[in-house]
Amino acid sequence: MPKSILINPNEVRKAGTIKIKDIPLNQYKPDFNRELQKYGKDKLLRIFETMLTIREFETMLNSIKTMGEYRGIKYKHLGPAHLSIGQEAASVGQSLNLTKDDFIFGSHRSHGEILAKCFSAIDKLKDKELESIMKGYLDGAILKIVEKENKSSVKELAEDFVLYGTLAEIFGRRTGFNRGLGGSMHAFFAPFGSMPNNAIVGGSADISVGAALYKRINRKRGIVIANIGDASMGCGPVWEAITLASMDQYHTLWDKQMGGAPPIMFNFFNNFYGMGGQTAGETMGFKILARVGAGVNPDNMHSERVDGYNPLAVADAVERKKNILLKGNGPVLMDTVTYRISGHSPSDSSSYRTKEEIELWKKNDSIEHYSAYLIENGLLTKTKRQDMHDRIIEKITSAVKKAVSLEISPRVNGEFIADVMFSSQKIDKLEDREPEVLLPLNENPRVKSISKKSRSGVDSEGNLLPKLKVVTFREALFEAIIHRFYLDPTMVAYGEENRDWGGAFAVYRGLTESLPYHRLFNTSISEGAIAGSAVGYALSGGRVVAELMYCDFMGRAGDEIFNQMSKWQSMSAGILKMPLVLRVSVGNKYGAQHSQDWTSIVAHIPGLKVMFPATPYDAKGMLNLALHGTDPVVFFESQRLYDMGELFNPGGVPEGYYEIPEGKPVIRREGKDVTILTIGATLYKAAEAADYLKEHFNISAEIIDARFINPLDYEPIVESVKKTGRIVLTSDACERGSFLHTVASNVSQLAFDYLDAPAAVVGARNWITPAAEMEDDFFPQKEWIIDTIHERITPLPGYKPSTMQKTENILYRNRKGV
Amino acid sequence: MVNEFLMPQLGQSVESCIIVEWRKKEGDRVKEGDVLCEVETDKATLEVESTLTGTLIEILRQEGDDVPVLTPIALIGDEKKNTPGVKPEKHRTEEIKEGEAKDTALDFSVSKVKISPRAKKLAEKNGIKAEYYKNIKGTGPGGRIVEQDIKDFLKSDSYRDVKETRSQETAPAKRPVFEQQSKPEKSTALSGIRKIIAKKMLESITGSAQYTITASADAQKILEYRKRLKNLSPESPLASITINDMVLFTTARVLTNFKNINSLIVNGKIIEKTSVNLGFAVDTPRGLLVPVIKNADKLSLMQISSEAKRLKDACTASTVQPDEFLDGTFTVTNLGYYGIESFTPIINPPQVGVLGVCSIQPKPVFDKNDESVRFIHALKLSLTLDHRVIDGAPGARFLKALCEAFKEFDLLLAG
Repeated sequence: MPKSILINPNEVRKAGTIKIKDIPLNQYKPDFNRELQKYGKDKLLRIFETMLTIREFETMLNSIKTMGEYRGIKYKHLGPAHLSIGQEAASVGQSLNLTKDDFIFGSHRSHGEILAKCFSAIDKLKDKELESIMKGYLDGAILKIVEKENKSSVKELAEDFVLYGTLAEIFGRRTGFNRGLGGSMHAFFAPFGSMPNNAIVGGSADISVGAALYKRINRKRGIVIANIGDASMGCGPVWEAITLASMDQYHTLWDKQMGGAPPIMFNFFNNFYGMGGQTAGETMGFKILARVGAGVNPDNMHSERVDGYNPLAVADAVERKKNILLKGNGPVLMDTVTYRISGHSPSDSSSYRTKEEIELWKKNDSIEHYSAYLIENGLLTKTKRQDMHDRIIEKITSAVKKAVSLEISPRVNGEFIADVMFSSQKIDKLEDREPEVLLPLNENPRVKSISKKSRSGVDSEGNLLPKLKVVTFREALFEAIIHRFYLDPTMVAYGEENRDWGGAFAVYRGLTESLPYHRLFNTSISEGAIAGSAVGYALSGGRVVAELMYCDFMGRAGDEIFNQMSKWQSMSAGILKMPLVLRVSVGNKYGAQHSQDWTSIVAHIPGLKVMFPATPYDAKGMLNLALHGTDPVVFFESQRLYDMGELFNPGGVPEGYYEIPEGKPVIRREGKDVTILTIGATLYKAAEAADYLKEHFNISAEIIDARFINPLDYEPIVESVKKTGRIVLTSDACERGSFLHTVASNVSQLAFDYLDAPAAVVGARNWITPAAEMEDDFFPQKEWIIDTIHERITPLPGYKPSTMQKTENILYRNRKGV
Repeated sequence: MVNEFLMPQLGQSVESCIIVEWRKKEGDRVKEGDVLCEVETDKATLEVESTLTGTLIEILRQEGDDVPVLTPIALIGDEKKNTPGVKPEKHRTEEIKEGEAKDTALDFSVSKVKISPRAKKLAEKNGIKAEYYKNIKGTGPGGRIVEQDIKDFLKSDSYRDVKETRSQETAPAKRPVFEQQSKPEKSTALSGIRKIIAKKMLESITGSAQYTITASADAQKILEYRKRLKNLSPESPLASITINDMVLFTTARVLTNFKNINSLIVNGKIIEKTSVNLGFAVDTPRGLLVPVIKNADKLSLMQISSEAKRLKDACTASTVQPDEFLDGTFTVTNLGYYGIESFTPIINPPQVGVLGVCSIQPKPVFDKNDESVRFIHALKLSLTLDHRVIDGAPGARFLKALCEAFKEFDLLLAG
């Protein structure tokens, strides 16, 4: 869309062919002398030792899972253990040339990567740094346990720290890296650059792009590697992540001094199976995974297949690719060939592969091969190898003994989880530096334009003012956003049509003038990656506002919202924060796939804060609140309301900064006979209904705008119901499964003795949203509210309802499933 | 059309009957006059004849059940017309069965009336028990009783706020001012206690020769005594003795000298009772109840007071036991709270007398000594007697004795 890029018909209609550059496969040539010179004897041995440590660690878990014991220590582990026996060379090789500033994100099969990355960091860090990290982590809780046994060196202590911290995490203990709340598939240790591992196949891809964007935009050191499996190439969000990472704009539109594309490597640990499905030959069509890079950009994503059974081949490739990434020429695709000799999980009977195939790979076992290579070149002897192995067994046995003991390694109690669901902090700016902006705030054209408008939607006599003369809902949002942009240097906003267009609904109009590209940009049409990368950006330490143009597109970002955005604070036991606001616009007039209110769906997901303002005053105050916090917020905005001025708050929308108290519903109109609770734009229908009830039946309705879905303070609602004895709840969400039913149920319990009638829910019909002209049959109208009061709460003398709101209709409609 | 068949009132003192045997079973045709079942009272075993014709649709009370009189024991009607419309009735009566274990005598009609929790809360706060709900018209959806219905009821004639009627000396309570517009007239079927009261009172009036005589007693002594009691520490149990307690005490004592008054008329026979079992009227939201203080003539004033209080509370809370209504020999009813100056109380058969207690009013008295007129506090008493048993002169003698006893109340205490 940028005007600077011309789409020239002469160019695009020209005949020609695409020449695809060659994609190298396994080009590494071992050369011992060169390797010895580069790494030295100790490092080459250290590679082996780490590989052997991982092998023994995974063998130990296999033994515990399948036989309930390891070297006489009995233990029953109920949870998962996706083992990587056979894949050690790939993970150790990958981490060899990485520093703690390089992040690796992984998958459900990442124990080996955690150990490899941490051991690599231990090798590179000074004793003092190691001590400081260990002392600082969880207030030294892990260190206290491992330091009891006298160790000869800090590095050895750090190794024990990593082995025990990982294992205690796998066993779900309070002394695990993540208090036992992540477990085998989510364990990580951020101080050494081992970042969250993800139990959703390909789940780390877009998160890693977000982390890489964080590094690029905030000029942080290091690269980011998404370790995902070959089968994840079939996952849409992985493709979206690749797309987002390879946008041209990093080179064409972003300021050159930003350094180019986000430093992200998509590393496919290609073990040729997705559980049992064979990616080459059965479930995918690429034959060789590295080929996919050719479909993404002219650089083929610098794609390369690497022999993951040779740690030095992997280390060499990662080192070369890291240089490409640091120069801003990413993204990189790596097809790291490996093979898991163990099953997908301990329940895997390998029915999908032959014994011969497994035997073939065992003969290629990287541990044996690398060991032979070292012996052959005089660095290792069989005796030394045995000694090394014995020492490793001893270290792992010691870790197992401590990790299985409930005395040494207790579990958190359930309530602890409640405490880490949200971080609930307020942080003005996540980094202390000048935010990069292009103009002083008061010179921003939209700020200037707004300054001439009425802060209230009505004039002094209460007459409605034209929308162009008032501070509208969208401008109220704009004020909150630009305020934080000028305060928090880490804050970025992106999504579809966010920059020049100003967002599809013009909330961001005027931001383009104030913000450089890297703080406000358009993305590919990749809702999954928009949300997922925002998760990665936020958990890396930056504040981000991601936008989904329509609520209906949340389905495209399902995993990212439901499993990632919502869960990483708690799965990390509060180690990670998630200062992410996902703005979601709730549509209308555009039919069945552009008009749905899905607040109830996110209300159901633990770990999300959910807000839905209905007036400009709240829009600004609630977005201010969301942008000040450290929790993931799904922020709903009704498209019906963008043009509204403030009609309820007497002073209109304040010019200065203010926040709405979290979770507090607001009484929009006081009344004594019936409470009408609204969420979202139905506030205005409720007001119409209240007017009608007053005029015709002298019934005074109290209107409460919940405005928050989670957290939600029920007290004002209950107090209102105690007064009125009756409650109707209404929103534009489809009635079945609506969050309103949760509120109704809670109100029934909290105010049972005060209820004069059952709580009645007025939601949208359980249909598709029809054409704009027919929407009144679908969305709750004034009449629906009044009819419901008449039929279910208190018969209105002489009133003739025009819609079907009797309790019989509930039965009938549910029987029909509509 | 389906009708409830009620356990008949088999004799005036019968409160409840045990069903010994059902002679008809569900589905049988019954004619008026057919024997439906055999029941047992404390005196006899009797056959109960149907007063209805139709099909015995449902037996609501089983053999062995102790059923209060005038409560439904069966549904009789036309099967074909057994439309869904009558079903709520059926459910309602099923509820009775569930409730019976708790309190047979009072569980006249615990009904599954639809009432909102809020309305229920308000009803309970005002002492309206669940049994009474069915007498309240529900205006909510489907006839649900909602808060406004209770509010309306509280303002209605059927309900008098107990709190307003505490003090006997005060003037009649002002009727609450309604800001309501006129409400549609309310029509409520007789049921429960109301039905019993209706039947008993009508039988009383039609079955006896009642007359009422009125006199006033010098209330100086009882008012002084009451004042003294009031001045005691609130912790003292004596402080709670009311004027009404003194009336009960005095009546019980005087009755011991009037065996003809303290008697019953049963099947044409006059039975003079040796001890005084004194009934007293208690106004409850459900209607009039008359618990009985047994052997009142042998109780001290304090004992009478605490027993009266206990029974009154039990009536209000519906925890009163069936036998606490039984064996009354004379009744006292007090409308003095309302400033009533004279009335004609109705006898509670088979008793032959009832004392109506009116308000205490100033009365001019001519003093012969100095030929002056002075005012005394006078307690008006309206005594209704059954002329079949007691003629005017013996009745007047009793009333005079009562008046004298009040006048010399302190002397009476000595006994």
